Amino acid sequence: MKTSVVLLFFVLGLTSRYVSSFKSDELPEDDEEWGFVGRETGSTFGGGRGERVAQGSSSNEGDKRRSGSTTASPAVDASGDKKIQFDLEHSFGDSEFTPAGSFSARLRASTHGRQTLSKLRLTRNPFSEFQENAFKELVQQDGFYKVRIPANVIDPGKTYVMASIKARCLAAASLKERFDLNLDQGNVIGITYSSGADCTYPRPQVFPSDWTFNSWIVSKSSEQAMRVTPMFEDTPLENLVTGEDGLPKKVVEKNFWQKYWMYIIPFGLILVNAITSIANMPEEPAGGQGAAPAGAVPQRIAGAGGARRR
Amino acid sequence: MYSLPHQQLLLLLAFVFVLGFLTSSCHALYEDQVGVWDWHQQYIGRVKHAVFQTQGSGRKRVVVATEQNALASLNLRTGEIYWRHVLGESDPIDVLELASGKYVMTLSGGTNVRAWHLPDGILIWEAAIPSSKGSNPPRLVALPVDIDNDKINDLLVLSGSVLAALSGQDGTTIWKVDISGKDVDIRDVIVATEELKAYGVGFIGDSGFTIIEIDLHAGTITDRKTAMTSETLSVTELLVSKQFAVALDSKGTHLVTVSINANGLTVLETALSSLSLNAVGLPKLLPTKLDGAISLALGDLTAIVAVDPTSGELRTVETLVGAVAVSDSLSLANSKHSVAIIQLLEGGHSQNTFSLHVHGEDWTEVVQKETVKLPSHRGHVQKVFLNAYLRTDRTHGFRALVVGEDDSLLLLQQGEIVWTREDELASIVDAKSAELPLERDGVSVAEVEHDLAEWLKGHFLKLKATLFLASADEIAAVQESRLNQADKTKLTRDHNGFRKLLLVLTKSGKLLALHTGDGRIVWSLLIPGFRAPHGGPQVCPEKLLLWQVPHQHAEERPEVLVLGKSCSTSDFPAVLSWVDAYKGIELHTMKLSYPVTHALGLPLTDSSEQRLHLFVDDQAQAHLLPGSEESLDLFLKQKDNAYFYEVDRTKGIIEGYGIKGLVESSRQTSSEGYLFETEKLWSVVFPEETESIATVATRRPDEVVHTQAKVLGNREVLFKYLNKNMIFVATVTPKSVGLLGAASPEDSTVVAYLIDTVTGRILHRVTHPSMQGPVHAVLSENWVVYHYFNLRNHRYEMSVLETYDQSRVGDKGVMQLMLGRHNASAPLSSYSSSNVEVKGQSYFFTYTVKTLTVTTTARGITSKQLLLGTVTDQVLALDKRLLDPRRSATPTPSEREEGILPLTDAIPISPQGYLTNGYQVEGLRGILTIPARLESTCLVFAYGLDLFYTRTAPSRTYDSLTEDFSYALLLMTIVALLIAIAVTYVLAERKELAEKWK
Repeated sequence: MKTSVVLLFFVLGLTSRYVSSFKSDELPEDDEEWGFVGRETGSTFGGGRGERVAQGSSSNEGDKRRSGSTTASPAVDASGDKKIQFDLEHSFGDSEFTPAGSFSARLRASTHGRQTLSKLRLTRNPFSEFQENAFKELVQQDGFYKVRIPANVIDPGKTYVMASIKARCLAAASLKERFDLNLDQGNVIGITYSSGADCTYPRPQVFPSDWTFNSWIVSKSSEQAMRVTPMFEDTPLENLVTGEDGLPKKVVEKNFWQKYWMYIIPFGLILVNAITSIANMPEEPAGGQGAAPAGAVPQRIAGAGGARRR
Repeated sequence: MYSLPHQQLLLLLAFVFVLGFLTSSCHALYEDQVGVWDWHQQYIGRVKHAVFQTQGSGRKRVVVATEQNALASLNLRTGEIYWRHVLGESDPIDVLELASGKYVMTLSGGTNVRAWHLPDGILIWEAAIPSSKGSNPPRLVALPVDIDNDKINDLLVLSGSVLAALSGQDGTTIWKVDISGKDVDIRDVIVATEELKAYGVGFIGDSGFTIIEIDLHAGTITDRKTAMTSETLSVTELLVSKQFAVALDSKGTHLVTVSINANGLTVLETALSSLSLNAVGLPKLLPTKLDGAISLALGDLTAIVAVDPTSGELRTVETLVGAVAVSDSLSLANSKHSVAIIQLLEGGHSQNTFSLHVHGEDWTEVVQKETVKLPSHRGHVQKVFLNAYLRTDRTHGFRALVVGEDDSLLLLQQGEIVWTREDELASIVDAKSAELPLERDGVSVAEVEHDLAEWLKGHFLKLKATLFLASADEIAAVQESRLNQADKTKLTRDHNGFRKLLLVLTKSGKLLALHTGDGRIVWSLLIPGFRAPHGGPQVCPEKLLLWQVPHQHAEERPEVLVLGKSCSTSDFPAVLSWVDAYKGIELHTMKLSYPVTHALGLPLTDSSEQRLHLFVDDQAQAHLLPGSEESLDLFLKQKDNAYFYEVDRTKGIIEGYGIKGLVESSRQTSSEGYLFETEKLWSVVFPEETESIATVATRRPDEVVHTQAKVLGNREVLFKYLNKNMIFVATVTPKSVGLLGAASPEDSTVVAYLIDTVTGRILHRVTHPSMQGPVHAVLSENWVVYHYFNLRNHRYEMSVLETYDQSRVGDKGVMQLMLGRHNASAPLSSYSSSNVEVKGQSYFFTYTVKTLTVTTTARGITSKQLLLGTVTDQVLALDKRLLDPRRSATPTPSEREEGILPLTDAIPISPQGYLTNGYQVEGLRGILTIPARLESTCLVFAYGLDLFYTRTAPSRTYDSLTEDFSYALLLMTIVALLIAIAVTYVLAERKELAEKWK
């Protein structure tokens, strides 16, 4: 059943600031795990940096011995690992896929019958003149250079995993190529095929001067999901009360002021008011006309009444 | 004189009180707020069986069973639901029967018999019958006798070849008999009450009939009779009545009748031509139950043929042309038969006519005839159920329950439609939202809204209610006014963007527009382009696409495009229909010459704001619509950057394609779209034996992300990796696809992938061992949340993956973000090397999930909530902060400042998180979220068998006052303050004067 599809307009990149090669922060592995094949002078590309091959050299001798029992055509080397080979095929635009080189790898069987591929190396066939022209044509048309490898490398069938790159990207990076193989036991799930350089739109039209590929192969296997389990040390559950938004919140004991401020402030205000009025009371006779006799009071009232009449 | 400070104090107190009142907005929903901005509608689906319960003095009702596996009792006067039960997906109701006047009997899947209490729908008992193999429709007969002497009449169930008698008391099997034999294929069972015998009637191979007599008390086979025919029979349908059985011969030229009488079976073959039925096409017996007659369809003709019970002779009673629905017959006193016939009369105005024919004894003549015209916008009538009642003048009256082509349900009585149920809304295929038209100058707002006095009065009442001073009547009046706000249901756009049209496409090919204010139907359209001619191939609506959404030209109408495909075959050419979203009129329709596997809306619109669409056919060629020169020019400019992908779930392959050149010849046929060649660019192959695709989640194409940078508590910046072309794929071990327990924890794994669909690059791959599907996932911004089952811990789990762009990690710090050279909005290309950091975390979760989605807001500033359709058919909102991979057991102060919660093992569920409140959205299938214009608010529409609509504000309504904000109180406070100021001013003046006079 074919389902959801989205049409993708990928954003046009106008600047390419990242001319430098890919930088990974992962632990460097020993060079044995990598295959840098293609340029006779040896690889200057990456220099041992790369992604880690899962279950690299850690599998023990017992596993290696067991792997010899699997029946497969590839040669079994002294350590019990098998060497396998599979083809890399390429196509220029619409052309048929033709062999472009071959990968060699070491197949290692571990416990639970799992198999791991390691020490992937690629031997690229040099381009023929016809292929060079086809590639140049692709660069002119800004077409795709496509590669594919069998999805099952141990027992290659008819399904292939395919990837492609704009020929101009490859040419601009002077045929530095990088394969990221996502491996799951003996199966390749996907390849990421990229060039050594950033390649955003618009792409310049450059032709490669030297027709030797500089290949870099990285194999990636799946990582297991991490799960951090929290420790409940000093937050006992009964103190966790669910808040209005559904989030657990801690009940914090309020101090006296926090609890009763709304009563204290009005009370204080009333108190202050009362005190001032009490303080005013004795002042009143003094503040008027000195120690006036009691008879003066009606006078004042009359005066006030007079004011009112006006 | 000393009153001044007291007054000030009082004023101060009043002010403090008012302030406190104004700021204490409520966060949960109160009882009186239910229904203010949400609505809930209940439906049952397309009715396939109905039985009437009109005897006795109780409430008149009709019990119906639907194709959506709902069993419901409806009020016959109003169509309201008395009670309703929705059975599981694998539990279709095959037979519906009333027994003993107070039980509803259902038979599901030939194996499950259930008895429901008629008045309140309580399940009384449930019994399972061991079914034998056989694909024939099972039968259930409510016996009019009691065979196990418990004073409750019993049941007979025929399932495959097993006939069982069940106790009406508790469903225990009284006896069971396998009546299969060599080549015997029993189709139906009839009961002779007086003789206490049951008869199984069926075929012997394809050349004879058999009848098996069974003693009702003992459950033993007492007799077998057979009759062979000279012709081979068509064994697809056998119509059985008490005295005869009728089948067709294999060539379709003869009707073979077998009369059942005391001395055996008599076979009679009658040529169809002798019945003056000469229409072309193969005849088909209709399963309508007519007493003493049969009905058959012959091409365009439908005929009712009476059968003479003794001789088996046939006689045509009526022939009807066109789309016809015939009800089962009702036998009346004095051997009259009545039958309802609904006929669609094609012509200038196609119209359904309902005619009721009451035939005399032995279907001789039409004694009585009634004709009612039906509204034609409900299409061909699919089913009619007839019921008779006694009128006040002691004559027979009839009522009929009619199921329309659009799945709606109508009740006809006395020549008019008593009620209508829009039950097509139970089967929504796709839903979209559309804006309402702008307010016109001609329509004054004042007309709708109240004058100031009334407005104040309303608010005063509200204030009284808030202060608990209002009487019960006043509270009722307040509630009334809240529920019936005039501006809620207006058909124009509002300032906050709460009023919208919900466009829903139903399985029956009907497009409806619902108003978000109250859920009423604004317009509905049975899409003419999708309607098959009588007997023609059916077109199933598949997808709703927004064809034209006018922004600049507000006076233009939005248009939607409905894509339809054949219901049965995948290579059938697709049908497109354009519908005006304001008026509900089909603008035009087009039958394409190619099948469509995917339809994609492009992020390009032409000058009339029509969206460009690509339709990919089964040859992986892309067709561009609209077929105008302008759209072609637009697309050619962007062609090199257009990619799409296909997911083949059966093979476990995802393939990416790029667009190549235009096929020049398609310029001539541009009305069907410009044809583009495509080329396959990448493929991802999941190993068949270990992984099969469980779910694919994509980002909403219209999603808005406010910012790419995420500022941490320590003033550092994380950059979200916002790749618009990233999809999430989850695979499960094929062995564990089935039920829980199908695979052991060791060999059951869920693998999650993040894939860039331009280059096919697998950005991230993570395995969850000992996990099992089904996987539900939602992808938004730079994160994906998915839900699956943990086999080791026997709990559900939810995981989150967040992607961050490490290649921009150099631009750290807020100051650098603001002032630095780096531009956070620099374009992201799938072809540049990326350095994506993925953070993940898993949490336990209590519920199984039916559907998973996320809220969307207009500008993406508001924090997000996950909306889960739970197994209890409710919508639960979960704060995205709960699913943050950066939660840690002991957050640092800076993390706390950022709002990171301490890590917990499981996601807590708060009862206030249920958006559906106390409602259930029965059979929940999907949740649609629509951004309102108000940034804080998101509109939520959940659909299944029921519909539910509400709105949610994940970060509370920070940009507007709450609905229950008391303007009157504010106004009164201001007035009181002004008066107080005036009074104190006067008092102060006087005091001053008095001072001066001293």
